[in-house]
Amino acid sequence: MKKIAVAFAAALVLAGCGGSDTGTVSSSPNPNQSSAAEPSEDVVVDIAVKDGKVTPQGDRVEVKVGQKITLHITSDAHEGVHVHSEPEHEYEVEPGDDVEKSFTIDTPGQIAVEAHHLGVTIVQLVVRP
Amino acid sequence: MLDSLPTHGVGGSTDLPIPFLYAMVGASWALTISFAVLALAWREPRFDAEPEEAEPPARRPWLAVVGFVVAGWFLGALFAGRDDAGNAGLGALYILVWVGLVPLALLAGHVWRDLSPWRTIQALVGRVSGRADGFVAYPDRLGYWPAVAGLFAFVWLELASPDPGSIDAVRLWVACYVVVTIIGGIVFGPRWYDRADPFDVYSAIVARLSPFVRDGRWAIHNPLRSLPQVPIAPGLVALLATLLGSTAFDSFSASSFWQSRSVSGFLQTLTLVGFCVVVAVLFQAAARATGGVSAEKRAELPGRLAHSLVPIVVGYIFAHYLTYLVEKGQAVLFALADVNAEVTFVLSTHTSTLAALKVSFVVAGHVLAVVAAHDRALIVLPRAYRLSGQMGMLLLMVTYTFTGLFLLFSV
Repeated sequence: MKKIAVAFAAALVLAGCGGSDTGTVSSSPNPNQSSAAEPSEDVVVDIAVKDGKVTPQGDRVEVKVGQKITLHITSDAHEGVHVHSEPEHEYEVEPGDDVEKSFTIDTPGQIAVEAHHLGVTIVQLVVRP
Repeated sequence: MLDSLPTHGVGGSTDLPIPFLYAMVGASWALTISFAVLALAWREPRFDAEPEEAEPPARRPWLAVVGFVVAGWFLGALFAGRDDAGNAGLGALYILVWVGLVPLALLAGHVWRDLSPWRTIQALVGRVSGRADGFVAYPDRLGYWPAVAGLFAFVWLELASPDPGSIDAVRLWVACYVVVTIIGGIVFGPRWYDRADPFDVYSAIVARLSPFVRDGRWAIHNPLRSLPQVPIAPGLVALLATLLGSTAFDSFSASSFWQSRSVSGFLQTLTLVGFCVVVAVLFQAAARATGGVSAEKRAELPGRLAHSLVPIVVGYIFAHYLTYLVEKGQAVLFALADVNAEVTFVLSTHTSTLAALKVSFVVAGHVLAVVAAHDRALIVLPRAYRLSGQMGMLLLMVTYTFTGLFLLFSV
């Protein structure tokens, strides 16, 4: 039983290594992503803070490592938009603002973009290699 | 670096969801091995014939000194450091203490017992007062329940409180913990730490799964032989259910489904309780689901099978928190030491290997759990019901594991 478990774990790890190698060679197209063909294309996330609510809320946005991400924020209130990447990005917006903020993310993972005064997650950036 | 923690626990980025294929491969292995164990494995108990555990050896003084220094360092950072969420003591608690405790216990056994500064204080006070075993005998009927309360208070702070990054809240929590732990120890003696200190108890239970240390000394052994020695006391199932349920809740609360709703703090807390209660109730029911036993014996079954839940808890916690520990742990150490260094993203940058590791932890935990439960079932179930009496527990473990894989894949 133990041998099976060990062999299984080894097989999975090996498969994993192989997977990541091929993954970097051929960029697999992703149906959820409008700009999958060219990783260099920008991703724009439209964010509206209005009447004490923020849209979108809790959505997933697929991006690639190194891809330029632009948050297009319109707001009718004072709000702090935090991008929980490393390093962090923090954008303060004021009532009547209509701003664009851009950044890139260099490490794969999921990054929460949060509205800190309202205490909600606006989007979760799903950053793939 | 650790400027602010989001509403769902430790801050910063989280792992990518594991690919569907990995979840499927893991799930099918878990299912296949489970039924193979049931159908083909041994018919006589193999691991439970061990002699009763000897009195644990004396605490090593040098480790007590190390424990004092580290605790002083962490507490100093927490209480004397910055007054915001960038305080390094916050990360020390959430990442180094809470998550680091598990691999420490797996590698070095229940070394927490030697490190614990609270045990050291109790021993010193006991020596001065001449009451080494405290002033009152610890009531056995309390069992692990004080530790369950402590663990729940911690996971609530981390996962369901209004602001887990609030330095005031964390300072208040730690201050209460320290006061209760020291007073409890002085009043009830060392037994308090074996049953009521949430971190000490957590470490002691995980340490039974360590293949390297047993009875406090280095000895390579089959962890399936030390696992059945988890001391059974009231609240054991609740303790493990709190650990497993809260970790599942942490995954769930990061889902798009949950984040797209504005959930009140009360509902957040209720949901966290719900996760833990469901895990516990299902385990109670599955453990009792056998024929041929008296009502009295049936009531004992959940406790006697509870140790088999430990590998599932540990496997899932590893899968869920490994990146936190390895990567955010670096950031915390740099912040504690006040050095400006770059975090090396050893796991995040290898997404497929990370996914494979996570599935492997979950499946390995599952397999150990199924084997441990099978072996114990051969002892506690009457002969005629040995096969049918295990079915409930087997199905439950498959359910836990599938749920864990589903959460890793979908969130």
